[in-house]
Amino acid sequence: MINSEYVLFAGALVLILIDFLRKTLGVESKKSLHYATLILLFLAFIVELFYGDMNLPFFSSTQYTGFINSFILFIALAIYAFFLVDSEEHSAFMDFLFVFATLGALLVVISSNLIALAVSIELISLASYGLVFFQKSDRRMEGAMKFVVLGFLSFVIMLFGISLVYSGSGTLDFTGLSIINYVPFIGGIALLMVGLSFKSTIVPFHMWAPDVYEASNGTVTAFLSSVSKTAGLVAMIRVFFYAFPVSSQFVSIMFIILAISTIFFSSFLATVQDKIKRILAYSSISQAGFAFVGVSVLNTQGISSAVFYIFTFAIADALIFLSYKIFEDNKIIYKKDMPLMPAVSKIATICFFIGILSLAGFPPTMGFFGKLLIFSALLQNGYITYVIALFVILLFSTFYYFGLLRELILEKSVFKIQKISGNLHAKEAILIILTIALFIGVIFVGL
Amino acid sequence: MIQLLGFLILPAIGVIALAVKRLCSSIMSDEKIVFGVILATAFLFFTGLFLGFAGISINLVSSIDFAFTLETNGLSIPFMLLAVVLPALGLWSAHHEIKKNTNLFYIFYLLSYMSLIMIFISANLISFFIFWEVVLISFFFIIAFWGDEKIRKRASMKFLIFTQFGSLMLLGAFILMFLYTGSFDINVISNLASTIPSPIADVIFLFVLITAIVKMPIFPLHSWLPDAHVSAPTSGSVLLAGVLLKLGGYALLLFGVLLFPSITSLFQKPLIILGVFTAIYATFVASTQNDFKRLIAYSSIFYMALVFVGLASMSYFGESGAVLLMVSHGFIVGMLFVLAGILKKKTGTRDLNKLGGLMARMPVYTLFLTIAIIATLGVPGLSNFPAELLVFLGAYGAYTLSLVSLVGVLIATNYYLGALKRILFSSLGKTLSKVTDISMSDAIQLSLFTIPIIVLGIAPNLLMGAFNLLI
Amino acid sequence: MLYLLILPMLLSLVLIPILGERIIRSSLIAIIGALSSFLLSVFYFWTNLGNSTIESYNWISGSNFMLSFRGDNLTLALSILVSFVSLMVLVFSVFYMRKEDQARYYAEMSLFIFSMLGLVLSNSTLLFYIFWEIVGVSSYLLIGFWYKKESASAAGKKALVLTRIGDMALFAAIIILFVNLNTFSIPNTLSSIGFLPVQTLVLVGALILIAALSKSAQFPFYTWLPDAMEGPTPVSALLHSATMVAAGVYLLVVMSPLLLLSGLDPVIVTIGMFTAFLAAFLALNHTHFKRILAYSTIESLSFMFIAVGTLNTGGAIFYLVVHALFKSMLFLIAGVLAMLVGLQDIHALRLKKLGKTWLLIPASIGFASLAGLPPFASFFAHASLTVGFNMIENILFVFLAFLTALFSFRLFFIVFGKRSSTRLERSPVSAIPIYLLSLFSVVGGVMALYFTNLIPSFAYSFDLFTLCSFVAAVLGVVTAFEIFGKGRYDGLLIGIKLRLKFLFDHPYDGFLTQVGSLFIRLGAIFARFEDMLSAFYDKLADSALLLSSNSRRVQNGDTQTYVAAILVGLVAILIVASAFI
Repeated sequence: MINSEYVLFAGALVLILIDFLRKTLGVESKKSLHYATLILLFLAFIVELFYGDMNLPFFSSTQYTGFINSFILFIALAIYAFFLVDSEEHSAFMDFLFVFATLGALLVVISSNLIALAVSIELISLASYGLVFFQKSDRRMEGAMKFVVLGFLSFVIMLFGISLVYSGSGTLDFTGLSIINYVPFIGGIALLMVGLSFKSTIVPFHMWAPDVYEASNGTVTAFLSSVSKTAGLVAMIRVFFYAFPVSSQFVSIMFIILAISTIFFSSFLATVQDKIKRILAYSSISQAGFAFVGVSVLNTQGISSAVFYIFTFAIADALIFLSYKIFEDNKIIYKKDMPLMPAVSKIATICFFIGILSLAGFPPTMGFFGKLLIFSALLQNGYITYVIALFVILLFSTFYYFGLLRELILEKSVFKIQKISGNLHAKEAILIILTIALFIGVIFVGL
Repeated sequence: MIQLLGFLILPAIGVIALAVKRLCSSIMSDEKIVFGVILATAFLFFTGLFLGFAGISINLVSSIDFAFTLETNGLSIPFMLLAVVLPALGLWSAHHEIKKNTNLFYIFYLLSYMSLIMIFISANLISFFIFWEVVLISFFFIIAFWGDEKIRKRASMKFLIFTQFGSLMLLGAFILMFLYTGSFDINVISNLASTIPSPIADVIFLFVLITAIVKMPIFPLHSWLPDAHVSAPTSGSVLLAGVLLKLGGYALLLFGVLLFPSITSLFQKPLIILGVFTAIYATFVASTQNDFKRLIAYSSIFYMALVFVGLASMSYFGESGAVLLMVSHGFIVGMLFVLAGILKKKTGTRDLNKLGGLMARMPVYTLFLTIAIIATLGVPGLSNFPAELLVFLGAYGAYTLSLVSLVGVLIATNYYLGALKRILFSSLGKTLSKVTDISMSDAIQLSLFTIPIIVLGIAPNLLMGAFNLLI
Repeated sequence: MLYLLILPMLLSLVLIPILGERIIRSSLIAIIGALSSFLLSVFYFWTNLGNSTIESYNWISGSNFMLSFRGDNLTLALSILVSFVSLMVLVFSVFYMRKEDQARYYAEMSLFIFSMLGLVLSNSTLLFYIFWEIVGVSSYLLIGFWYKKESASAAGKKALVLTRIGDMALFAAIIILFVNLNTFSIPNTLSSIGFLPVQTLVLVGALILIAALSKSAQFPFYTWLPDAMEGPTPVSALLHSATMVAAGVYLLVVMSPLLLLSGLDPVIVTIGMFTAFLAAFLALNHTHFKRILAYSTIESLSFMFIAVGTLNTGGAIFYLVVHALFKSMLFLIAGVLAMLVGLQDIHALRLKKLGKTWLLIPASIGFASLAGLPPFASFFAHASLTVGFNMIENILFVFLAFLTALFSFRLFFIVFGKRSSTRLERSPVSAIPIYLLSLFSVVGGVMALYFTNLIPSFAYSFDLFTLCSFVAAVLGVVTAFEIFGKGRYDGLLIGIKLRLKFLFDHPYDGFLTQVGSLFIRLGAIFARFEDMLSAFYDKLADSALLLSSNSRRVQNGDTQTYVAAILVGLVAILIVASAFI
């Protein structure tokens, strides 16, 4: 049975082989390797679209996995393509890291055993450390160091939690866990929650995110905030919805608290930032919080709304971080620099604009439908006060998103485009594809 | 039959043409495109009045009942009249006022034009909400980018936060309606509205009510409006006061009063009291204003409060009067804002204390300002009169106390005549001796405003025949 | 076809801006309009004598919104009066307004006359109200005609604001009546008011009374009328006679059954009496020609109010007609003086020695009419006015007759007391209206005979009190001659100065100003509250921002803090978890 995970894994090995051959043959140009990576990701995407399911003891598909993996691959493909256009001569190692991180994300989504899950998460993490590390500068070193230290801390906590669960239940398989109807392992669940929250940037385990996002290359940020965060959130869904339905009361309450505090805290912080990238980082955190709101309902509607929401914000995050990459290269760092954006690229500005609209939840972008689903899931389950609290925060987030957009006011100014690395038009094309996806993605509502 | 989709396609073509022009640059001027599009749309509308309108329904996402359904309901025609005609008249002022980024301004203007029309013919609540929000966003940028330099940042944000609060409430109401009727279609919902269980229906009504209170606006959620008006460019103000405020009334009528008559009647007296209080409050605050535009803004709160009272009266007279008042007030307040814009352009100030005696310099302007102010005071023969008559008939029938808002009319008489006196009469201000009268094009614009005001004043039947309150 | 009566003036309003001055003179358009209205009125009156026709038009479909005209003896007679006086005033305007903005003046006049004609012909409260409002607005425009004068624009505003109080009262009354009776038709309303509960009836009656008081410048609204002198004199002539102020009386006449049923007639009489005395005293204390005339108008209107209050509507109407004729004539005289002499102060006018001018005869007719002396029409009008009076009212009226004669002849003797050879220009357009009006003021008494046929409720009687009034009036004339005719001016009166002027003119104005400033203060309170509300929202936003910048401190970039946060979160989650074990 052919499957995208197999394809990626095999492809990664082939890539290593190609690189080895290239080096032995003494070919300087790494282009062929890069294009091979691109083709590999594309191939995986196609395979995922047509052959989805997988049923192994540790890895098995469920209702949403095919959809999630497809969009993960789609986003990864877009990000990689952007990366390729941006720096054609990057190191071959980056390609491997990229493929492995993507593979890790796919595996997280389909893992059906806590150990498999932990290992897959670690695969993403390690690859991400590498991606962040690889660009050498002091600032990045610091960011990456934080990332690694905190990442390992959370991993250890998670492993501890898994061991507690095992000691309580005697199994780590999701199906096995889901039929246990008593809760001897609540402490384990709590620890697991902490570990997974770290990946999904849930307050108060989010703190690494703004620093790391700010420190890393724009494309890597895009990857972290979309693909690897998707993996973290989906892991949450798999674990707490499929594996521990018995603990749902505790989980639901905990999730509501975490989600609300995440959204509140990140929105507050986003309003007082001056650097665009930090605002975007906090917004990305608050988006995770919103997805978490959907998860906290812990029934089919809640989960499907959360999955759709993850989809919408993953695409929007990828879009804005990629388009911001173009501006960042031109030293548009602070809010006050924003009027210069259109001078760099009009299309990228428009894409950035639409991406923000989507994150703020304004129609007709997909972000609106994501919020619509979440609210309707909440209302259907009677959480009216919860909805009203969310309305208040949404107003707050509207405030900073539009505070950002408001700076876009166009002033005629003398501005010289400093440097556009790579082909601007190709980048714009990628952004446009993502933007279009942001509109037509609405057809996946209710999958 | 005129296909309603035309109202989406025509402005959309305009937007695309402008956007493409922005990216590439072409020969047609921006204004020609916008005017062409708006004229074509208006033509479509007026032809449609004779030939009838054909609806359309495209199912987009069936799982959440997201369809693109366009059809005219009993209320569409009067509001479409406002939405189609007023922006065209307001655009006239943009030509002089918008100097920077005209292309982008017209894009936003056309976007809100399109969306405003679509709101009144969307029968699916999701598409309704989409357009509702597009209006809001476009308007935010119109204020934020082309507003008065000093206060635009604050004003635009205030506008956004307040109205977005209203929108979210409306969204909440829509979702609840969907959950309990299984559909986002207005017709289905109105058939099943009575089956919605009582506490949920109360919540829905409350949400819609808050939306209306923000949007119309009614005390205490009105404080975004004066700032937004003072900041917005003239064409924006025309759109804002003329059409945008009416969205609140439209929503309240469509989703509140007509869907949940029993709840409305339960809250009728408090609602009427709220409306009456707002009316008096707004007129009192208005009489202390020295900025002409701010004065108009507060007085438009007064008229919207009357609309609110009319809607809350739940009678045929009150509701149809409220609709008529919204249309009539749309034209009158639009005209007043255009006049305030001209005042600013010609004299450089809107401060009533610095003006005076302009009648000597601007006889034609005087004529139009007098007509507008007399019209706004509800003098018979002009369109506010039949509307106010109907509103008060309905409101008195519902609750005796509603006649108290006539005191508001009196105070309005006082401050409007005072404004007239301070702008036009007595001796000419020292700095104003070089002021010239309005140009021919301004005069044409203002007379176009006058026509519906007079026609509706003499023959309100023209409009009353065009709508029925049963959806 | 009754709308034909008002159509000419509407046409004139429309045509003047289009044709005015370029093709045809605006004054001519307006005069032709008024003339055709007049002729049509006469024609209808003649052909419809004794009949009553009602024409209805539905205004708003799906409801009972009838706009209907009524053509019967009363309404048509009044429309003849209005169009005739208007015609005279318009002709006079050719003389008086020759240097002014023609098109604007005649257009506004056309609107004014149009609305008054419509008002008297209305048969539905709705239509009545429509014209009632337009009358008010057009008078506002006309009073403020000389916009450059601060006082003129202020007077215009004052007039409209004060009369608008009455407008709103009438509006409310009409709404209450419609909601209760579901009809706008006046006869239907009056025939079914018996079904209304008493409190509603009293409320409606009071509202209608307020409307009439404000429109007819009675206490406590009267101050706008003397101020309205700031308008051009022909406007005053029209405003004070057949239009505007007459509307209030007409309203009371039309609604008299309702007022009777609501038991408000004593109130009307009391207010009327009070206003009449007040106006008479004030007239005695002023020295401004037109202002004295204005107070005399207020007094005459009070007479009509008293008549209505004593259920004598016929007398009120008859007095209205007669008063319109001589009062407009007096104002035209004032106009001639203002135009040719350029003065309005009566003592200054005396020095011009106008005693032998052509104005003497019309003026003496006018002032004698004002004083109600025979054989002028006014004498008969007074006789019909007092038909319903009781003893106290009669006695008071005798005093009033004395005061009226005193102040009117004070004016007459002061202005025309000095004889010399001063000559005033006499052009046809200024003289013909004055002569015609004075002619009718003289022979108008004959109409009294005719009026009994026209209006059933009309009656007149000559009794003891008629004689007393006559004697009192003569006494007044003699007193006036003794004091003022001999050139002693106001000497005596200054001695016995009644101080009323200070009580009721300036202080009352001051009181009104106080009321106004009370409203302003109230407005200021609301405005302050508005600011507070706005500040509250700003504070809300600020405090959220403050919270934000405080929370920023936690995120300080220090890895230890981050680890600590993770541990805190962990502990918190474990604590919550422990609750579930």
